[in-house]
Amino acid sequence: MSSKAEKRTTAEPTATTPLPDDIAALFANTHQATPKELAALAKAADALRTDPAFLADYSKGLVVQDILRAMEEAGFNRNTLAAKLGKTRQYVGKILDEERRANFTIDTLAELSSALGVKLHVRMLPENEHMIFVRGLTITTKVEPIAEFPKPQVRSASLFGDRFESSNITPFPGPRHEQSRMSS
Amino acid sequence: MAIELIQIPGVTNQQQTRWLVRILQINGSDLVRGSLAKWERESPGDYKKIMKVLSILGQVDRIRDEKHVKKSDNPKHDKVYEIRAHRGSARLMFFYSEKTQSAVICTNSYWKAKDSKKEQDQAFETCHQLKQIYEQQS
Repeated sequence: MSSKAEKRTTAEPTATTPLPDDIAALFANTHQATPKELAALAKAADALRTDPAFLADYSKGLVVQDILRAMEEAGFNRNTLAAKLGKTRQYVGKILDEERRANFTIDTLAELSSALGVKLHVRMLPENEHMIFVRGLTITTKVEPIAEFPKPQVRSASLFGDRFESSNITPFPGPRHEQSRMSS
Repeated sequence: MAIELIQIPGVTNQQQTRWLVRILQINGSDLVRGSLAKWERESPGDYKKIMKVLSILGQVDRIRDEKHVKKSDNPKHDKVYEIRAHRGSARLMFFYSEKTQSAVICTNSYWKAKDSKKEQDQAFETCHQLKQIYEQQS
């Protein structure tokens, strides 16, 4: 990660309204990262990108979010997914809890995607290449960093608005938009 | 008051296909990077867990698992969230920018030292206040 990319990229408008006293005091009393600490942070984050243990943990986490989303959209709970898979509820629980002993093989992922009626894509791509799903087409493309805030292509799910408002939520309730997912 | 959104050190835009994940900076200061630096130095396990959730957060519509992201259950708070280091103590608060609808904005953090809701409530409150300031000023 270059130091240039670490710099501020998204300036927001400024105003002259003062901060409330308690918030101003909080900022004044909070340790600000030094340039040395920021360099160490950037180095640590770079190291994570090539750390197999981190990559495995992160990939499992991402897959689990995909599974949870697919379950939500299919109206499945752990019991119905277990029944579809011909496995126990505990097995599904292990997968969803990202347990280390959960068996995240490609075979498992294929079974899950088949049961959930979703596509499975497992690829290994160069650092600057991403997979894009556009209207049924799967494209791999080199992607440049986003310069400024784009309009998101997918609005947050709202099918389940009420259900998730009270728990872990839909950030922007509203009509569901046509989806075109991007994934790496 | 100068409000800016800055990058999380070491987190690239390529990892943020759904949301840009940023830190709120006011008058050149922020309440996140100092904590990240401390966690990376003193609690690398927690730091990795937070970085994992941040990386996933930028790529999915929303995180559905409360062991990773929890919404404030205080009705006074306007959709503010907490990133959790699962089975750890590091916590990072954030909100979704309702103006741009494309940014996750991290505001403040805390270290969960004991099983008390007080510090969590305070952190959610701070996040809520910062969200209001951001939405009013931007």
